[in-house]
Amino acid sequence: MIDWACGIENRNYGIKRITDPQKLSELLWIIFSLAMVAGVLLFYASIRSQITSMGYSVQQLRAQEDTLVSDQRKLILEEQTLKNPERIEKIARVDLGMTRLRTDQLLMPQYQDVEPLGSNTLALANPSRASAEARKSPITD
Amino acid sequence: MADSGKHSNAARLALLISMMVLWNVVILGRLGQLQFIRHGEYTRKAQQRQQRTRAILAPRGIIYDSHMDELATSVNVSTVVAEPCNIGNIPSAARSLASILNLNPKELLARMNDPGRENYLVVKRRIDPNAESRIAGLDIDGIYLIDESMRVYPNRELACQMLGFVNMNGDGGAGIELKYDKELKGTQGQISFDIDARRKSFRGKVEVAPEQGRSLVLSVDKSIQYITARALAAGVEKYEARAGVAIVMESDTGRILALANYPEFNCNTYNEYDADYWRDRAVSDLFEPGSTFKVVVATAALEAGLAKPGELIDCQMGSIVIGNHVFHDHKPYGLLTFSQILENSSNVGAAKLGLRLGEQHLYEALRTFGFGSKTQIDLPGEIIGLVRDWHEWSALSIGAISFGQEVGVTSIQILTAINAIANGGIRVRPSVVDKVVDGAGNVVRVRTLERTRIMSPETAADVREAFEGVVLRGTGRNAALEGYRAAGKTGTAQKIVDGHYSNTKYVSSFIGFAPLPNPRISVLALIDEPK
Repeated sequence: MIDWACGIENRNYGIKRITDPQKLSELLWIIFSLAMVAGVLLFYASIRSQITSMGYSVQQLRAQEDTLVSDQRKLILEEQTLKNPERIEKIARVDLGMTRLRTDQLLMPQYQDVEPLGSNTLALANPSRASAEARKSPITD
Repeated sequence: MADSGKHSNAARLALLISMMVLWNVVILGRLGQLQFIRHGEYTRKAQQRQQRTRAILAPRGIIYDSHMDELATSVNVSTVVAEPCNIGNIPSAARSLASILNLNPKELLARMNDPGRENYLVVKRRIDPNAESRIAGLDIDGIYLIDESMRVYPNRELACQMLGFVNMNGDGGAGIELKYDKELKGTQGQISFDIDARRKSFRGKVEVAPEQGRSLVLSVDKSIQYITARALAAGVEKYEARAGVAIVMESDTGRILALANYPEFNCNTYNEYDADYWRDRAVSDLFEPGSTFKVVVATAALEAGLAKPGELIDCQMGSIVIGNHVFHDHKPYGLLTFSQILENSSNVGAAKLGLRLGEQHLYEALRTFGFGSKTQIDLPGEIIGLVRDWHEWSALSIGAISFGQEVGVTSIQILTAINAIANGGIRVRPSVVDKVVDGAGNVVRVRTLERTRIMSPETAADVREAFEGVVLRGTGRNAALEGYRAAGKTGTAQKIVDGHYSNTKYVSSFIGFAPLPNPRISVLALIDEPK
């Protein structure tokens, strides 16, 4: 039987581990480059992931905005419905027992001989004379 | 022998290579077909799976009153649609939907199984928000909710004929909604989203930006409108009349502060009413004005210098013959002043003023006052009225027209004409829209004032004075106001039934303005067929 390993120590006794700086430098560059590529890929992946997750958030916020705008419109509509003059009058008359003012409850400004008034001024008359007389006699056309 | 074996091997090898080449050619051909020829089709299919597009609603513009209270607005509601071809279990989906939407399950199932609707079926429009969330919770493939805008009128019947309505397709159907449809209507936008495996959307991209409809600010005051409508309704109901119209106009500008019709309809449920309710009688109904027209004739005579305010006119004890026809007064009057003719509403006096003008001048005066042409109010359906050319008049026309017969006018026409007396002689174009505002609130357009002087300020002042006499001493005493000086004229005209003047059916009207001497508002009230 042949011992193939016999004398191997003697045959390799001259081999020494020597650090080749150039090769080491190349290796380090390769590792660095790979690390850089991996880093860039990781960075890209994380950015993509962030963009996607932000996309979801944006969608959620957009839906929320739509809901809020819709709610706001509905609230404005409700406010306008509550401000309906017919409803207000009904509450005033039925619930609060309010009535229209009688003419004797109105205090009219005193009559004065009016100078020519500006177009923005309300003209006043003597109600006691003209209007009261006008109400007395029957109407014909 | 060895040679033949080599040959056979080479042939087999060649065949194998050929087959492989052919296979590769086929594969490459197919790839080429997919990549180049059918590229668009597959890209579209992929996008359909990975993307979803949705309409961005552009809400219809809001209609405001002059105090920015909303008279017409829009809210978003959902409509349920189905794609039966994409629904796994149609009977189960039909049952679930029918129970939520209060529909008949059998009918819905029949509709969903209809081959003509397998790609698109509107299940129910404008559902309530509770049903919306329940349907979304079902999460059935092939059932979708789409946003839709719905028009709402918070004041229901208030100013209904003036505002009009919007039909189911989102188009204006009557009133301001119809007249300003193009401005009010926005343009829908479109947004597309990428969707993930769970059909959740992310990364939205606006494909087409929406354009919001423009809003309108009216000259109408909601409170004045309500008071006017209520008073009109009370009048119509009191006299058991068929219909009524009331208009309040700002004298100097022609801005309409209120325009009421009776009977009314609820704009939100317009399709429950007969189309006759939708008609704005103020602009589209013709009537013979009767005695209110005497003012027009009297003013024209005064302006032409053919009559003077203090002049005495012989009213011939209540009768006058024109063209073989005897016209009568309701009372025999002798000598009446110009003012007294209006105060007492003398037909003979008015006819005499008309005769002084003559046919041609009277006709021209009517046209100057705006009769026989549109007032150009910004409401749809306005008619021009009926004023025949003076060449077509009969011998008695000049008499009849002088007290408001043989002519047809609209409420808005006669109010616009009389308003010229109120504001010192200027005919102004009536209008209901003051401003048009865009989606961002910027004013796009403001109403322009269109004024035409049709009489001198002196003539207008003289007629105003005579008009006041009608309210103080004449036929319009009911219009006297506590605390303010008012002027006006009543009118009663018989209606034409089967070509003859009816003795029972007539139109009563009053046109007035206040306060004197510088009127701010002009008012018309008209009651059709009071009893």
